[in-house]
Amino acid sequence: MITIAVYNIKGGVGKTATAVNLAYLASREGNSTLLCDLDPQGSASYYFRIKPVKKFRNRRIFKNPRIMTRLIKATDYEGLDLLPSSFSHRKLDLVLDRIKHSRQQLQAALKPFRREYRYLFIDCPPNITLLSENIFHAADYLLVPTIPTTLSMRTWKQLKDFFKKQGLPAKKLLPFFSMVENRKKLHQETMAQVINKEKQWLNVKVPYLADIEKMGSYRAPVAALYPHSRAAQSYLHLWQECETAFRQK
Amino acid sequence: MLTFCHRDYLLQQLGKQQSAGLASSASRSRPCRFYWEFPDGDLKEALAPIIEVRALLPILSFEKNIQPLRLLNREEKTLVKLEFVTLTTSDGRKALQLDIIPLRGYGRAARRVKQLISGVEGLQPATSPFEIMQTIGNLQPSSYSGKLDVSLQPGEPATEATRTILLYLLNTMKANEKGIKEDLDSEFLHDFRVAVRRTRAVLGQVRQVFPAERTRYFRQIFSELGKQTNLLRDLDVYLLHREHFRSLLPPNLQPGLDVFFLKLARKRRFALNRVRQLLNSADYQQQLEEWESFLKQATPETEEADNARRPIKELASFFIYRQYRRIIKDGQRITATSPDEDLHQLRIDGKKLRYLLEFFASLYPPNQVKTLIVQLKKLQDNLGEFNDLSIQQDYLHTYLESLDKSGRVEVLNAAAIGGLLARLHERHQQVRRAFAKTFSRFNTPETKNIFHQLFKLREPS
Repeated sequence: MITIAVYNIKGGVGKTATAVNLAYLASREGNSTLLCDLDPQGSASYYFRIKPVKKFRNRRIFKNPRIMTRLIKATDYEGLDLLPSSFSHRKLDLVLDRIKHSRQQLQAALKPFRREYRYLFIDCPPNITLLSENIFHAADYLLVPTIPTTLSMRTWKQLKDFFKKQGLPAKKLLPFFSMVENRKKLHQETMAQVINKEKQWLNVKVPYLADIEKMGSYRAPVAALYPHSRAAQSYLHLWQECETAFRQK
Repeated sequence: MLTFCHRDYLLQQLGKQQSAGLASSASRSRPCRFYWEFPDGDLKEALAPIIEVRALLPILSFEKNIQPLRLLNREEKTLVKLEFVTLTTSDGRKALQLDIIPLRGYGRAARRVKQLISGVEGLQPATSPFEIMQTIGNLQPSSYSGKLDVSLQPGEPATEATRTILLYLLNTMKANEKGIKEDLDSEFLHDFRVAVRRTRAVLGQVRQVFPAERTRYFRQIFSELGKQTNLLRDLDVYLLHREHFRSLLPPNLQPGLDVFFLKLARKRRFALNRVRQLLNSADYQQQLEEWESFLKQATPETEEADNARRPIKELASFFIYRQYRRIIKDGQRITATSPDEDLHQLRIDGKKLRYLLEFFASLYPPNQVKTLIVQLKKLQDNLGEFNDLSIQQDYLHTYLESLDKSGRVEVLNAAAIGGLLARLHERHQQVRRAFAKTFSRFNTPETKNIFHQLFKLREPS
């Protein structure tokens, strides 16, 4: 099983759209895939028309990880399952804070899925919290959608520094440009600078597209609904680059 | 049960609906008939011991039309996938099915749908191929068996019981006629002949149950039927042994056998036509009808034979015990220097005993009869192989004499036959040497004890 977390400290960077589309593309190739919606906003669940779990005590997840498997729902797409978000995820940090080895808890909780799924995607909440730290440990790769703006680049640096400080392997980080607007000079300049300096950036530049924004109204992965659209092609390109990165490890 | 669909095979065990079974793909779109035609792999290996030399015949073929449906909730999320399936057999019979494919996390919805459609007439939930076979094909698994399966009552008058057995055998003969004529595989003829032989055994062994003159008449008919099918069966056996015979020879002699088998195959075509003619002949049809009406009508009391009204168990025990004693007596007399004929006679007597045990098995405790049959079978395997080897060697000798040994092909052929004869002779002697041991394993106090217990009675006067 390969665990891929889609994460950015900043919100509104196209994180959920990335997780939903990549999970769909992975399953379309015949891989059993699970998407974990750990973002309390529950956008990924919403895209798949799956209701969030209402009553659910977080503590039980860590005591008995098998409980999680009971919450899994099949999406409308063959081979793609979803662990719905839960409103009480917002309390996850508090729960984690109270237990031992609080940084490795999520990794242990995801163990039961290892045999069943080839790919596990995590749609992460923003900010650096104890939950995000758990995700950093559990994930094999951290896919970081980044808007090429000054502010976004600052948060990217914060994440890199955090990894260094915590002794987490920088190799896990797979940053790529998201919501790119080619007509904006600032976007072009920022990207040119970064690509020159840092080799780890993926080549794909996912553009800012109305089709992606509209996913909220048609509630399906754009790659499933409009497979020939520019948006779908960008995600396919991104997924292919990810697969190349997985093979290189 | 083996299903074939779009070049794919699926072998499933009866009753295990959920098991995935063994699957394999064929290289051609026509289904394979014998296990050796299948591509190498697990499926072939699994099939070999099940079907052995039998041909696979299509029992039922149908077209499956699937219309996928989805059941949505208010959010338009799929809760249950449904498949509306129409099955149409080649002769136009139809069955409708609604297959429910539950989705993970939506078990409750699937259960609810199942509940809802269970009340709808004509809509069955998902069924296994077995159920399809039974519902639209109106077929039952294992409806034919070459084994004798009759159940008798100990107190039944001998005529009644004997008629039951003979009618069963007659049905076996009839059931196999079509397969012989269509030349589907070798076992149709084999089962047919076994039924004929058993019929003769009943008439010959269970004595004085029917009027003597009629018994003689029908015995003659069945004896003739056996003789007229001998050649075809012999040729079948040789052809089935083809690979075995080849393997007995060094590789450079093996091609020499091809000519031999080619000739056999040609001969077999003639033999098959003869048997077909026989089965289609008015004489044969009339004889079987005569036999059937004889079995179905009661004999007038004035003509009844001595044993006709005796309870069958008493009679069966008497004949079985007598046959057992005969085998022991004759078997004990056989030494290393006895002529081959003595072993052949013992084989025939052993076979008669085996048939008697099978005819009347339902009158005795099943486990004990089974033990005896197993014991007897071991002895018979030895005697049977000995007999087969004698016949094969005779046949090959005659064949060798008939060869015109002038050409190169004939010389190679003769060399191969010579090599084969040497190997068969060697094996023949081995089997002969093994007889003493095999017989002593049959002639044990334990076996004797069971025969004694089950069958020893006051002799009928």
